[in-house]
Amino acid sequence: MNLLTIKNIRKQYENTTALSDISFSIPKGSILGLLGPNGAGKTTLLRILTGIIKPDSGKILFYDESIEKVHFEKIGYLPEERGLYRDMKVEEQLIFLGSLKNVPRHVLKERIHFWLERTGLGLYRNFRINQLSKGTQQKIQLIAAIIHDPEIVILDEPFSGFDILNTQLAKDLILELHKQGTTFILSAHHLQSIDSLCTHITLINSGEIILNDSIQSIKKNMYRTETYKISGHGSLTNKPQSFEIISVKNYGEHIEAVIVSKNSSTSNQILAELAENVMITSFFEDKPNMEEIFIKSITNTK
Amino acid sequence: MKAVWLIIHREYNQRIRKKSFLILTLLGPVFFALLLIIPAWLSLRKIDNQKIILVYDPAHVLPEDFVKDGIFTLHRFPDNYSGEEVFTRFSRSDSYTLLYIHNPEKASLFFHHDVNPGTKAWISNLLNRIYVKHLLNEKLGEDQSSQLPTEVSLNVQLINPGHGGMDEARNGLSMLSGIIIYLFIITYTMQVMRGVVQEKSNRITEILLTSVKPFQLMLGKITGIVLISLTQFTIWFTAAFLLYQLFDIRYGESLDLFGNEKISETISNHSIDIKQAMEWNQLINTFSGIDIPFFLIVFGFYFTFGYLFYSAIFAAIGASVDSETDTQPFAFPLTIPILISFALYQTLIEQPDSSLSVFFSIFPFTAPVTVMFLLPYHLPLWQLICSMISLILSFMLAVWFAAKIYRTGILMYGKKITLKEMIRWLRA
Repeated sequence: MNLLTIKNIRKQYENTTALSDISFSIPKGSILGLLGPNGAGKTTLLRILTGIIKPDSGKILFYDESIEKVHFEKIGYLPEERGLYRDMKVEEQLIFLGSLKNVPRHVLKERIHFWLERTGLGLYRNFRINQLSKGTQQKIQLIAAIIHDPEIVILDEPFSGFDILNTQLAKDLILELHKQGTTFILSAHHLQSIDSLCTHITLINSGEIILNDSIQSIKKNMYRTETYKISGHGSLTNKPQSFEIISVKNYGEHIEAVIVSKNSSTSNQILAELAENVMITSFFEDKPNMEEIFIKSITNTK
Repeated sequence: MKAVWLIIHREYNQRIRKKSFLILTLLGPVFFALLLIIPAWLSLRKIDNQKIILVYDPAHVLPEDFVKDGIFTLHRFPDNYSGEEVFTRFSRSDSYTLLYIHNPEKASLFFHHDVNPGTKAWISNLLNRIYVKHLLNEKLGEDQSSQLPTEVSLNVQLINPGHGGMDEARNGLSMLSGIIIYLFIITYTMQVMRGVVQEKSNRITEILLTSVKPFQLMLGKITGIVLISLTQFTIWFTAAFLLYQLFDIRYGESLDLFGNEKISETISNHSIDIKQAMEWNQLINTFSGIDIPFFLIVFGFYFTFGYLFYSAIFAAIGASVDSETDTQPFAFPLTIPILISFALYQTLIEQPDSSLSVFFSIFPFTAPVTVMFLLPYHLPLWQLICSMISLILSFMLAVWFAAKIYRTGILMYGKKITLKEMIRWLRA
């Protein structure tokens, strides 16, 4: 079931098209990585999904209802550039933001207590934001995004500016909520930061979707390169039957090479041929990382 | 609506706990005290000049060596002056009073036209004493004169033009209330603008906008701050009212004695310091000539709507820039109309009926200050009503424009906004 369905969304700013006819959907329970270079239209898309701005045309469905104010209350949002009221106390601030999402005060108080304890910030309940360290403020911002128990949480560059410990804590939180059924959109221009979390990837460039799929099918389709990296002792035969040599480096007896399968040879057949001349120490498929898929997809569409 | 209420609530609660609220609440009465004390002081200064009495006595009724009696100093006109010359000099002088002695049986006392009754009573009373005493002494000798009645009524007349104490008091009240309404409007308006810029620059706006519309956010902020100012006014007026009640209970009855109705009686019947009595009479006249509750209501109206009008515009400016320093090029030109009305102060109050004054009192940017300028003088009701309607309409128009600019500007970062762009947003 899709939690959000985006249908033919367009948004134009004066002379530039921020989004041109975007359609995709976000399955319930997924962690969707929204990727794209700066200026691709990510922020515009997120602002439309959070109800901050309206699209020029197109439709967004929340399950199968056209999205409205009540639905926006079920969305949590952590903007890329984040801030809180610096002179407000932690608890007041969270109550204020939660109340705006129509959560009753007593429920908020319980949740605030729970999340502050969970993130080790129980002591800071009555501190003003400007009395807290940057890392602590970031945790509070994250709590603010989930305090109303949203069905879907949109985090724009979720770990930017986080230190290692906070990044880990935030990842744990995301996985914990994901387990409980919360859907996530993680937006980033750096893929590595969210690589390990995502179940789905959507690539956006120049206001258009250029890839939208689950991690598994992306892996299935794009990871099969039949390129291998090998290392070992010995030398490669001049005219191998099962593979072609892309590059080779000799360090005396030690060699490192990149080879690619030919004539539909399987990895076992290649290994067998290699083993005749080389004492193999390592052999693995040279998978492109997401970064490379990303670049490849963008250049393909150009 | 609930969201707007939450924004108002937050704005109010945060601001009322700030030190700046406390400071301004304590400082406000100082301003108001100045508003009352300076005009009063200006009007009291005049009393000193009243000690000089010009005398024209060609018949030499008063002895030559008589130049002083108590606090009076007599300045004599030379005998060769014509009556006309005497009047010309009198009307140009600082002195309120001219004693014109025609012959031993007839003397007239002339006052500038706006001298208040208390002053007249005081001076007539004393001059009667001096004049009659000297006259009788001369004719009958000291022994006999003390047995005769001493009241001889002097022929009291008024003469134009005048520059009395009331004018000084009006002047002070008009200028100061203009300054104070300007300071209040600017102080609170700047708070709105600063608040918007801060919310924008620390990016909380983006989170708020997932729950409220830009217009609601703007409205909530402006309303929250107007409630703060109304709280302040309520504190001040309650305190002032209580103080006044206290004063009235303690001194109200004695104050009556110095009012215009009883001042002559008080001066003749009570053995009191006459100069002090006159000062009290002057003070009572200064403030009884102005309808204070009406004045405060008009002040409250122009403060509230002037503030709302300006703050809508300044909220839009705050939303269009990235930092407070960037607001200068927009904020400064908007205060120029007010500065012009200050520069034209004298012209405005001297010709309250001129088309310039009418325009300044109706043009929304200058109306609050100009109306406060003109109020202690002459402001026809129709002009006041036109001005109020114009301000309310301008406020609504400003909110409508501001909402459009605010909506676009608040999500725009890292770009210097030009006036041209703002106009384009209005059309969007």
